[in-house]
Amino acid sequence: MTLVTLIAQGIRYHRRLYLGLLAGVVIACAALTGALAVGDSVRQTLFWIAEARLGAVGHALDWGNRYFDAALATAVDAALVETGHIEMSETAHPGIAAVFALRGMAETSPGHAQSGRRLNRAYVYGVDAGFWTLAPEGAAVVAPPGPQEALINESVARTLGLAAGDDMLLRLVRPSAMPLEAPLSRGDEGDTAVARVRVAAVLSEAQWGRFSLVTDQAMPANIFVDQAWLGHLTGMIGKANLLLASDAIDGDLLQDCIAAAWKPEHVGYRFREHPSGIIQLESERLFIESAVTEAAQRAGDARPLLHYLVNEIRTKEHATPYSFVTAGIAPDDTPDGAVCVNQWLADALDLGSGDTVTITWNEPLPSGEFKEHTTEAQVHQVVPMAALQVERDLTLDFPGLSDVDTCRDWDIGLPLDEEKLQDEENEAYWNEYRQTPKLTTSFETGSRWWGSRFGTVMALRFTEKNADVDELSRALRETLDPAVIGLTFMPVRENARRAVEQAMDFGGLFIGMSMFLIAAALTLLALLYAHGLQTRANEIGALLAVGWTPRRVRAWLLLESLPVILCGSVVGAVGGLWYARLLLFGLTQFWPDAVAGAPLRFHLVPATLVQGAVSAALCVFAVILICSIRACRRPARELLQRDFASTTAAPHTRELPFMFLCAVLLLVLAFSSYQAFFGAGDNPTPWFFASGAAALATALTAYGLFLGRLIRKPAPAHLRLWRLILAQLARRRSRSVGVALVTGCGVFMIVSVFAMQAAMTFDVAQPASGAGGFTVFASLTTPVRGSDDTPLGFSRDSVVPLRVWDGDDAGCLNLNRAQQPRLYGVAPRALSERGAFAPQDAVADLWSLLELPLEDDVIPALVGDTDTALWGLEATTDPVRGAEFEYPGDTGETFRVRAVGRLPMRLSLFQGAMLISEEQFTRMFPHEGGYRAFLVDTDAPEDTAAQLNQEYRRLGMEAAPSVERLRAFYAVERAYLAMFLVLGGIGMMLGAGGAAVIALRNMAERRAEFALLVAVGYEPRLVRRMALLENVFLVVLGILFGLTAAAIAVIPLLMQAPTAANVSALAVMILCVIAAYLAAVLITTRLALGEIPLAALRTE
Amino acid sequence: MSQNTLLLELTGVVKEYPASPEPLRVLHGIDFSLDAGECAAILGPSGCGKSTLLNVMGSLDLPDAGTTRIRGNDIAAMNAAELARLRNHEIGFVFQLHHLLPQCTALENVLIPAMVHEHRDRAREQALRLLERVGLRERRHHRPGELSGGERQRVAVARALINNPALLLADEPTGALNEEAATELADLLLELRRERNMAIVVVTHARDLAERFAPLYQLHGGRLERRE
Repeated sequence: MTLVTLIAQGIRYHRRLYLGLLAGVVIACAALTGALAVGDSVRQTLFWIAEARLGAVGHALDWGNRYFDAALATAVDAALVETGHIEMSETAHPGIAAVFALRGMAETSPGHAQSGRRLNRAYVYGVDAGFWTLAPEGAAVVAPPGPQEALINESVARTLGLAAGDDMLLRLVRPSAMPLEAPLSRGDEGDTAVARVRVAAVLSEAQWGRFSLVTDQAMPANIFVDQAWLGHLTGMIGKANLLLASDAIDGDLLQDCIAAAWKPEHVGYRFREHPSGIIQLESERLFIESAVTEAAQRAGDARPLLHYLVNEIRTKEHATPYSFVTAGIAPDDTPDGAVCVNQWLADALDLGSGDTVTITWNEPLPSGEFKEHTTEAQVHQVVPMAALQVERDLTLDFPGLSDVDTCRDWDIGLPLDEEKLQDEENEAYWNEYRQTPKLTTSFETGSRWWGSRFGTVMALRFTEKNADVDELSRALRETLDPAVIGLTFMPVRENARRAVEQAMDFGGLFIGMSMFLIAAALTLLALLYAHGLQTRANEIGALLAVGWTPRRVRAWLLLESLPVILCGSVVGAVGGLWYARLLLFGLTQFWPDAVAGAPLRFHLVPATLVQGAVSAALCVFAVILICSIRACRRPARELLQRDFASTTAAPHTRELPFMFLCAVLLLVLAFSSYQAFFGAGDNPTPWFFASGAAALATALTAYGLFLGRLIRKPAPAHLRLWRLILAQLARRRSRSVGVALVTGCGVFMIVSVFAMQAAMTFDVAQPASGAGGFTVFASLTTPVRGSDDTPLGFSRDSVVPLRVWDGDDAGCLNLNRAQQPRLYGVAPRALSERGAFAPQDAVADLWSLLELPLEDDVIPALVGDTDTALWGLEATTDPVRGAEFEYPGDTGETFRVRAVGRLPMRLSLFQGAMLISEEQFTRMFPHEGGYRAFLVDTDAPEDTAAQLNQEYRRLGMEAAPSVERLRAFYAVERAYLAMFLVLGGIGMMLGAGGAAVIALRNMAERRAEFALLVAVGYEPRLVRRMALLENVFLVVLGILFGLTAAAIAVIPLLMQAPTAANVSALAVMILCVIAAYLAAVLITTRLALGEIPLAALRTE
Repeated sequence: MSQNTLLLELTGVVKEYPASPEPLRVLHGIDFSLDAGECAAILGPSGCGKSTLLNVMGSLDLPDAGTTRIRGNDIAAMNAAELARLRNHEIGFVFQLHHLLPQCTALENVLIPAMVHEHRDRAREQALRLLERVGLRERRHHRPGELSGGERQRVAVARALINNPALLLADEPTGALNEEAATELADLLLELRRERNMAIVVVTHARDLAERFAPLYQLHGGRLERRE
């Protein structure tokens, strides 16, 4: 006789008990392993998607709205060859590729079967053969597109209904080297280039159709065209804004190579030589980045220049409109604040040295509007026209100014008065002297007056004798680290990996969703096992009596259950894989919103299987350990008498902890109820939920105490049926409370969640709502200027324009963790004055956060809503400790953006994004000109949205009622809740089954008791009714507890949206639950007590 | 083991059980002693506390007042492990209901107490000898469900003796048996006592059985009186 034999025989003899245990382990383990496997599958799918979108790309240099010479790629490649990293013999080696990336729109061409279809947000990539060398390994090779050809991916093909050979219209946002809103930059609003292209092929995912640098699992709408052709189409010949590098190349090496290979002309700089020996450095982006200015000044004696067009130069008697002025060329002795005027101006205004002029000019504001400034300045000197010939020769080319013949045709990004443009004297000056400045001043003075967020330096002038362009270019390269102007390769593959690793933990989410299922399985397992131990009380008692220590008996019981737990874990782990497949099927077929349509694929990680199995086994082991400890704690005397049930009253002292617990729960209930009704302000829902949960816990504890008290209470003089039933419930107090716990919690969770899902409403007209009182949200592919008094044709009172920086979606629609969330530039005061997006008493404080001065030039931001902060970013929002994100600015600077707060509602129109002030936005992204999103306040949202879509179709308008946008965001949560309901429903069914098994075992155990009742004259029917009533009471009480608690929890939802809450559906669901439980106990009673054999009386 | 050695001593033992409205006192200051190798029978009607007294004697229960000493050791001063060791080495129990493990054979049931100590190899021989002695060697591989009531009780006796206890406590050992089987079991117990010089305390309400294990004690109203 060994312990092993004893254990084996125990399992065999008590196989029914262990079958129940096995079932419990299998269910718990399957639920746990399945949930973890879903997490692995989602994560792995995201990895696969990241691989599919990046191909062999490991690093990327993204210059956004700035453009460099595509030859830079060749130069870097050559530098790599020089390092020996790439061998010259390699043809089409995966190295460096320049890409010209633009936003665009696509339409089916007229006459196509799907004519009228439109795609507003397409990524148009101008690529060359080098791009395809970076395709994923093994990708099917497709011939690169030729001129007027396009390769489209499946997303575009599906949306537009296109196939290879079809034609489509491509509408591109015409890029401009100059910032759209910069003064003296024409920056045509809504300027698009249109071309008809033929679809050469539809690229599958395997053909790198998914290429994207955005960390998102959603399939982008990609259109690949020939890079040279795209350059011609958009007037940006030979330009690119994206450099891609193979993952096989080290990031540091890449940075070294670009530092060695870049030339100023690659990145839009050019040196102009003047016969006078002056060399001028200019930028095609109009302004020279401050880092370049500093480097140039280190490289040589560079004088900065700034040009401007002032509105008026006036004396008391005379004035001249729209004059070209230059800072930085006035004689060195010009005092600060003084100006020099040219001879023409001196004559025109009758000016002389020492006179005073009044200068008026417009300053571009972050809102896109202009503010007029006026200053008085003393004339220091009158400069002869001949002395300004150099200025005329070296003046910069301003599109819309330099290339037009008359002043009337000027179009320079500044508000101009048509009448003043017709000034004849000015016209004559223009004809004779063109851009020769009428007025000059020192750079310091000029930059103070006319400098803007776009910069203060438009040219750098080297006046040293014998200055040489090549020498200056070399010196500039040596003194300027290209990284400071944003020529930095980002480790995009590493970032993608990080985004996936930090992605939403679906394993944890599904464990949460399956928690009730797991808890139900464990509770029922505990009830079954405890019941089993009661039937084995004499065994335990005998062992204790013959000298086994309680610890040894416990060990025996645990060892006996161990093989069952292990077997159950293995079976459960395998079952978990199928459960995971089932969940993935559900996610892709029924709840695609929950995973934002990600094409999930099952993926098995053996470690997860082990983790799930071990975790479940440990949970079950803990349950069994607790049951065993409780069983072995009883004295052998009681066990030998099989006196497990509470037939004797426990002393009052043993009830004290429960009384204390009950009192605490009552306090919690009182506090949360007070908060819910009087204290929580705008969002009492969590408090109502807490009140419901506290009510349920209180009821269950009180129920337990009541049953305990019942035993102590003397029997009444007249025994009644209900008393017998209650006595029986009290006798098995743990079981009674356990069943009520499972059913009560299940009903509470399901009803609460159901009500939450059904009752979500969006009162978009309310300023404090997630729509801020704006009933339409509109977005554009092509930005429009903000200087318009009637944006989108509405008065400014009805529309709030927003600036947009396309970052990562940090909302529920992106499963990856956003690394650089999308940014909206907003006008905080405008929103504050409207009382938008926050309760009236908090709105000013909220929006003032965006103007908070932070240390180290950190930019304050508000997270779009609480769901984004909590789940999308998992970010702390606080002015001091808030999470920080780094963004590459348009001029090469890196900006730190801190989440100092968040919009207070769960869902808002800004889900997945962060808001910063427009002022900061334009500082960070001066090249991101114009507005691409609008909040519209209208009484007819549907009509307005339709009208906007029609009217601004050319600009890629997508307008929709705010409520639709919010519903789309809520679809994710709705899908989660639906899944929770289904899994909770399975848990409830399990609970019903478990309750039936417990009832069955209970009745089987008490057959002698029932037989006795029959023997003493009870009708069998009455005995059955008693048993049935007892079991019905057992489950109905739990359901009632759950319902009452749920009713408390959903009060606010029902009050907010009595119609949306769909009370009838809720009632049907509750009735279904009750019916399932009643059916379970009815069938059980019928099975167990269909016949009551008196022979049971003779059974020992 | 000398016959004059004091084996079991109860002094002023009081035992109460929680009840409503006030605790139920079952034993009122019991004094009792038993030398090694001696017998004693405790008589009393059902519900008078006989089993409780036996439980206190066998360290299955601790007195609320007074002391129980086995070989001079106060059981109240022992921890659970020491008590378990004491029961395993010094005491054998025979209950009215056999309390055999239903999943184990007769032989295995006898071996259960021996699994605790270190001489397990010799235990099997001992168990077989005991089963031989109680006339069940041939039925050693049968499970309790396949044995009659008398046979089960004999297996329980063999189990009680596997560790050569100095004291055998029998609680209504023949209560569930017919007359013939009861007589056989009583004979067996007495023979074994003689063979092993073992002290036996039998608790019963059957005077015939009690007289065979004289001296007799009467438990009445929670007090123990010796009957001559």
